[in-house]
Amino acid sequence: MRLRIAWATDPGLEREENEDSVAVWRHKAGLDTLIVVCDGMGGHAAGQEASSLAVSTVTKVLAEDGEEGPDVERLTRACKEANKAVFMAAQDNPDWLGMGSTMVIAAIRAGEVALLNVGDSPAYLFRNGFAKLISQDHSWPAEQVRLGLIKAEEAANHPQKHKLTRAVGVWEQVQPFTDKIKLEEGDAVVLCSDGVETAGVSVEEMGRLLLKDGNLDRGAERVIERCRELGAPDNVTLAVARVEVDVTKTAVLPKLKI
Amino acid sequence: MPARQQPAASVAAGPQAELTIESGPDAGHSHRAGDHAVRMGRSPDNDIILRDPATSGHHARLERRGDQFWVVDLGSTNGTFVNGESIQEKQLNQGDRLTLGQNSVHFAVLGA
Repeated sequence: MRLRIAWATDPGLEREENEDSVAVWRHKAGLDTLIVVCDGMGGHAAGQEASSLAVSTVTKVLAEDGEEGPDVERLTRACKEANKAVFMAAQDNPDWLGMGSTMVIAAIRAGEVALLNVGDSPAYLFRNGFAKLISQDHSWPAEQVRLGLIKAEEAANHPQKHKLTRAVGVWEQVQPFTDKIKLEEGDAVVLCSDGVETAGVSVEEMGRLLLKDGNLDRGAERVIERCRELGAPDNVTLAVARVEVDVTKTAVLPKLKI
Repeated sequence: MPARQQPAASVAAGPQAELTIESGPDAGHSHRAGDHAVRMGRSPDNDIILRDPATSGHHARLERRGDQFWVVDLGSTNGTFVNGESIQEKQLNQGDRLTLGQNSVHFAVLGA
């Protein structure tokens, strides 16, 4: 199973700083592919510090833990180390107090994905033209929907939409969501910061822009361009891994219906 | 009381180089490098601060060894590339192109 990888990021039109951080690894840490997106928050340069430290800690732990493969326990340990690192850094510097970051990770080997997320940076699986949210949204209204207290429609434009119930580095403990997924030919796993949604690009549109031709790099750029066209009030980052279709095996190529 | 020794005027003790960020989020900036090593990365304590989500806090260092310039990756997450090739450390030649995250940096030895 061959994977194509692409990523792109942009500060958007209203922000000077880009507080997102991204890591894209091929054939390292006992994985075919590792993609990580973190969206930082906090005053001064704290948001950028938090997301940058979260990404570097997670990747360092995975590079050095001596283990192999897409294992959710392994990702959870790395996430907990990142939480500790960001939390401690915030304690040491008054400018960074309260800083934190979202985190979404896809670790892939031999068609298996281990997924981890904390916060509201989403992960999607695109399969046969359909999109599915595969991460868990840890925003305040999303938790309220899960608890049955409000309806999904009420969550969409909720005033507390950007308030997170879970984050990396804000509290001493972190409880990530994890999952394991098997990939099929043509599948694409997309991680992004919430800047895509904030700009007004729907999941379906993102999928169309990303996957409409074979050029994934260009696809990622098209998503950024569309976000900017719509005003992109927030930083926008996305990273994607797509399983190549083996044309020698399939008589008819699966058609994208996005 | 002896007069205080004046600090020596900063005379360049060897070849000087220039790093120009040609494309990427920090495009348009040029930086001199020579007698002192130049550290590049996202944290504010670097000599060249790169505002790019794919750059590590302390990403890479340019240093002179004898008359040659070398670039050293500082354990960055996404790696340092010279003319598209991933490196740990590498001696640079006139016109080499470094890639750190989204930034593409042109290396030139001054007066060469």
